[in-house]
Amino acid sequence: MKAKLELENDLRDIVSRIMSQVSIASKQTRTDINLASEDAWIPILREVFQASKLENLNRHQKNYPGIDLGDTENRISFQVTATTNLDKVKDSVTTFIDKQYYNTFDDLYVFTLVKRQKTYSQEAIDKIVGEMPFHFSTSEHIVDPEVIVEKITSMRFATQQRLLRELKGVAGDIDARINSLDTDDNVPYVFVSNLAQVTFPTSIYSAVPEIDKDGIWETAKEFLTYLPKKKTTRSCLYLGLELAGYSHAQFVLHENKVFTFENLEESSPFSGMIDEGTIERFDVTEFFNSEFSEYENIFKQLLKSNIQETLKKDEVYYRRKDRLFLFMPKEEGDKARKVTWKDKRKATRTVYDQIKSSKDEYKIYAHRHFGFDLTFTMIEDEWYCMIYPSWLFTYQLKRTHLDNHKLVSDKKKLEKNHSVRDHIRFVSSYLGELTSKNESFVKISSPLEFEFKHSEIVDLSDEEDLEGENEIQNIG
Amino acid sequence: MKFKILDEPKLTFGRGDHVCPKTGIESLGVYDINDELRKSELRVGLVGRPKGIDDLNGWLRHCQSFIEGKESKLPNLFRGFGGFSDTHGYYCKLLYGDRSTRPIENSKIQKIQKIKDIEERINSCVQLYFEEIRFLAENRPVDVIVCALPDDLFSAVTESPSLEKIKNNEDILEDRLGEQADEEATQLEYNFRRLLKAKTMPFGVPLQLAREKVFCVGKNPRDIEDEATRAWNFCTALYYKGIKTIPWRLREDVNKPRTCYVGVGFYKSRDKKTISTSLAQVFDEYGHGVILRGSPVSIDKDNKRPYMDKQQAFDLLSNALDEYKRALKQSPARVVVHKKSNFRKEEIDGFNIALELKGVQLKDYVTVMPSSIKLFSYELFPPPRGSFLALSDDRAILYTRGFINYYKTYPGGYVPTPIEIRAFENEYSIENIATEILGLTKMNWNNARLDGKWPITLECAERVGEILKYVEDKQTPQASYAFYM
Repeated sequence: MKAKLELENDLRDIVSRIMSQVSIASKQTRTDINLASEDAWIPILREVFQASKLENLNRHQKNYPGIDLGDTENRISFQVTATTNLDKVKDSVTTFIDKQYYNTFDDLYVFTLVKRQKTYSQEAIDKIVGEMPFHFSTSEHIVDPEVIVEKITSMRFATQQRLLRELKGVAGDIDARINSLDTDDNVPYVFVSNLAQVTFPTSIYSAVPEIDKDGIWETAKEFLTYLPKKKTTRSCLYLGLELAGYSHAQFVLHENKVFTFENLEESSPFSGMIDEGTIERFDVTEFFNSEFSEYENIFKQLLKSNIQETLKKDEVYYRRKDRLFLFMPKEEGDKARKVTWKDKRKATRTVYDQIKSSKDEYKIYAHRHFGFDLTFTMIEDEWYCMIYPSWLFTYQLKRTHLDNHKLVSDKKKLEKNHSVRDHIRFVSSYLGELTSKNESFVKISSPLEFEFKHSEIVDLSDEEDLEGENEIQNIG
Repeated sequence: MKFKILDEPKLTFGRGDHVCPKTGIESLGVYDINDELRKSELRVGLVGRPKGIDDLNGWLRHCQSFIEGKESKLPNLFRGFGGFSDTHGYYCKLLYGDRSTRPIENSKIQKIQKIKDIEERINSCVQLYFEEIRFLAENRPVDVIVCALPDDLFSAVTESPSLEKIKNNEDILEDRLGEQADEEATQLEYNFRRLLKAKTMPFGVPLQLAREKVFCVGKNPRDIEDEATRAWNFCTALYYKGIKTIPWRLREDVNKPRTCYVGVGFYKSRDKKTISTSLAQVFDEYGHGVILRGSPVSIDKDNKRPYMDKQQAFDLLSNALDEYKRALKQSPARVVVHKKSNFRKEEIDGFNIALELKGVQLKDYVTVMPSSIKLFSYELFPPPRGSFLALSDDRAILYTRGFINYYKTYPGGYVPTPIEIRAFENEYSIENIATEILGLTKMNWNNARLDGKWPITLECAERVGEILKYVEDKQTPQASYAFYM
């Protein structure tokens, strides 16, 4: 509160200094200060009047005699003057009408660099305007620096601080302007992406599988509680790994060759299930720089299956049908699951819970799971995973709920930029922590962020929001 | 990687430039007011049941005077509608009356609604409207025909057997308002809107279809837009279709070589057995163009996307350039081809030979597709429209929907999906190509939005494909977009 009061006092102080400077300069018939002020005020007027494209029309030789500053996109114009009498205002309005500037601008403001008169005759102005499609209110459209300060004091604190520095610049405190470029309030807009960098081993190994399918199948029948549907090379390899206690080992089978990040040249989970004479080591770049897209796909599948295995240990399962990694309850019977995560600060989010039936509170209508999918892409020789957060509603944790489509749509209708952004930050933080803790071949880092050093004002922080997009009504 | 925000492209209107179609038309007049030959009267034919005709008459009357914008803190987004008149804005007079009206008996509509089979229901409904449209087109001097559909009839001819939207948003057949989702591959596709537009195309009068509730005045139903927004979209589409001219164009860049933009789309035949190319060609920033029908193409077994062989690509672009020359009496200096799938070597070879033979030296082959990469701001709103992220020299993402500074909001739901741009052979930088695409998203005269999602090249090629599949092989399709929008 104290800081805010101090700031407002500083603003008023600097404005009175500027006005007295202009006043003195005018008396000395020095017009250079007025010309300098025209440009110096632009960033402030842009912000205060939401005229992001405001520019000096004289300097850019735009053909608008009688107007100093203008923004044709937001249709707002300014006459900047150190003269405050009614005649000057009448001249400005007359020129505006004669030149038909109302076709280009909705508003004309007369901005007096020194204190404006207390009152101006509205009647005199109305006589000039007559029936023209243009409105000029002497109380609203004649503004001076004090009026500007009043408008600034209703803005956010950080904006006020920035504008104070701008005003110091106007006042000639050049040092203040230079220093202001590196302060916190001039932080550019930051955009977070759904791209998180992926690191992985430098080698991929391949070998031809050599397994006794029938033998493995029979052993599995004896020792394992389940069997795959079909007795294929792939399913028997998985069974072999399971029986040997290496269920975490991941591979891709392509054209009767096993591809894996596991070092096959040393003792590996695959020992005894491959033809040792066929082992080959490839540099991983050979896969994603190959002219054959299937090799890039093998590499991407290896990335995904390794992450899949890491997540499985934390009760997060991939549902191929829905193309989602789903958070499941940690223990059977858990009513909810919460995950604590840390990005810029510590937070907890619910990643699984139950929705009770509206008819019977003892019955569960649906299980709600937070989930995400990952795909991989290479940008400038680095690999990234793209994170797509979503939701899935299940019936008894197994089957996709009959109303899933509607329930997900309803949920997403409530989600906006910030909610989806935080989903992505959560997923990358969760994956980053999990892959760094585990002996995972694949590691995930934080999502990429991009800075926009804005040369223009794009205020994304407005409070006004829309309920959502109405459907286009014309159907052709 | 380089990030920046591209400026909102400006549009040229009758007396100046502006970023927003609504503000531009209202303050500066439609672009063609300086054209001595332009028509200043729009003759509208009306087809519908008696209640629909009454509503439509009331709505057209309503649209001729000022309609207040929705009460909101966003005056630029919910801008009031100045009225369709010959004194400002559209500078055009609406003419309609009993002689240009064809009522449909309620009993006939009720009879159709009772038909159990959806295909038969659609066919009967199309036939019902077709007869009245034919009468107006052959016997009355109408420029455009508005068909009012009762809401329950609309539901009866658009009910979809599939509620699930196509999950893969790169699918070329997006689920749209008023369309059925694809059914079993063996079934013939039936779509009321497409069938009616294709069938009435030979009459040479564009159609504007709308549900009756779009014409309500006074109390606004919950699920439709406010009156002023409806009036803007309805009247802009009507003007473009009926007057056969353009309400705005992109601001001219005198330093740019004469460019011909080509959009290539693919569409499945109604029996889902073949995929053909459709082509929308934009001669220049004016948006003057021509529609061409291509030949059936193959499917890439790796990514299930359709593609042209060398000969087909050559034929398609050669025909497009012939049309260009026929219209403008010269060849373009540069050709830009937009497609929603990657360019294969055979396609590039075919295009290159076509350009070489026509002496065109500058070319840009550009894939435009939904992006998997997204950005999120730390503020309330998503990234602004125009947010541009260059991933490399030939790959970038561009937000064509997003926060709009002029509106001071993001006029959409959930989060916007950007488009990915890939340049396969390019003379222009990826940023220049993106800037061009951002401009072309504003060239859809079917509504008054400033933020189209797709460039008009692709938007139109896709729309054309939807209707061409219903056009008989021996029938010459209309060359103007007005018949497909």
